[in-house]
Amino acid sequence: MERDNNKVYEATVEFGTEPENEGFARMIVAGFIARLNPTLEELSDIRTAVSEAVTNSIIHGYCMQEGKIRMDCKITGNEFEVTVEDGGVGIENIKKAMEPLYTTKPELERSGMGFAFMEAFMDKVSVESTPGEGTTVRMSKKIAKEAALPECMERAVGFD
Amino acid sequence: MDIADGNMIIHVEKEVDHCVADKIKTEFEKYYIRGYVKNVIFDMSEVEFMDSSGIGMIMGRYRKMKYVNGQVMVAAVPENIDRLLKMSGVYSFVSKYDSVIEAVNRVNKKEGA
Ligand SMILES: Nc1ncnc2c1ncn2[C@@H]1O[C@H](COP(=O)(O)OP(=O)(O)O)[C@@H](O)[C@H]1O
Ligand SMILES: [Mg+2]
Repeated sequence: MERDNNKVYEATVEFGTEPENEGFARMIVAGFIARLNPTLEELSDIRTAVSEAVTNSIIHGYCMQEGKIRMDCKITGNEFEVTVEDGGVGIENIKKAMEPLYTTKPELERSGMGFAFMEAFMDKVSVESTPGEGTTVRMSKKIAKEAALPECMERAVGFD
Repeated sequence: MDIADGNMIIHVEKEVDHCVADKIKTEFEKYYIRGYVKNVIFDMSEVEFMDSSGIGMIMGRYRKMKYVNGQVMVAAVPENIDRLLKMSGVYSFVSKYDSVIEAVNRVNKKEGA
């Protein structure tokens, strides 16, 4: 098997705030990372994290009104990185927003666990936001860790 | 979704996100406002994907059922979903059963007593 640990793949999608796009975003990421042969657990972790970020843009960023969400996916070697960006209301206090169980929309029965799941399931999560301008969530995760085995090890376990 | 003796059994679908959670809430509400729901049992056996919207859906049912002194239970929870429920602290107010039948037996016994 050909392995180039620094090979870069990129994909960008833009979609609207229809809630069905949450499922669409999960499908896109699943397809995008398929080339890294993630385990079922890694796949599930990434799909959950992406679902959280996109749902937040729809529900909080745009309050279910019209708007555009941009998702950039990138693979570098065995690292997957995704950025979800909206031009919505933004977040006043990011630290507070990221606390588990904190939600500004309890009336919609939000659980306040979105950021907690993103942080639990991805290696890195960072949030940039400007009130009135929008929010960008950047997350990354190393997947298919065995692909990072040194070459001699790969040969030993039968890859070529 | 079925209702028997006031026990509402919600057969949760494969992918629980914000869309599906809202659909389930609306369906629940139709019976709840008429006072038909005494207990809620979520049948999780088919669930393959869930995000925090699913947690909100379960917590929300718990708050509603508290008003009518009813219980909320989850049954047949797959391992990856169990992880999410644990992380969110859902099990401090919702009990878990291996199967729907077991959960139903448990509430019926309590009510009989
Ligand atoms: N894209 C966003 N735009 C504006 N506010 C956001 C965004 N994402 C998150 N937030 C804020 O952060 C809070 C916490 O988010 P989260 O942990 O996902 O919980 P929940 O979605 O259940 O409220 C939200 O209630 C909201 O106030
Ligand atoms: Mg959220």
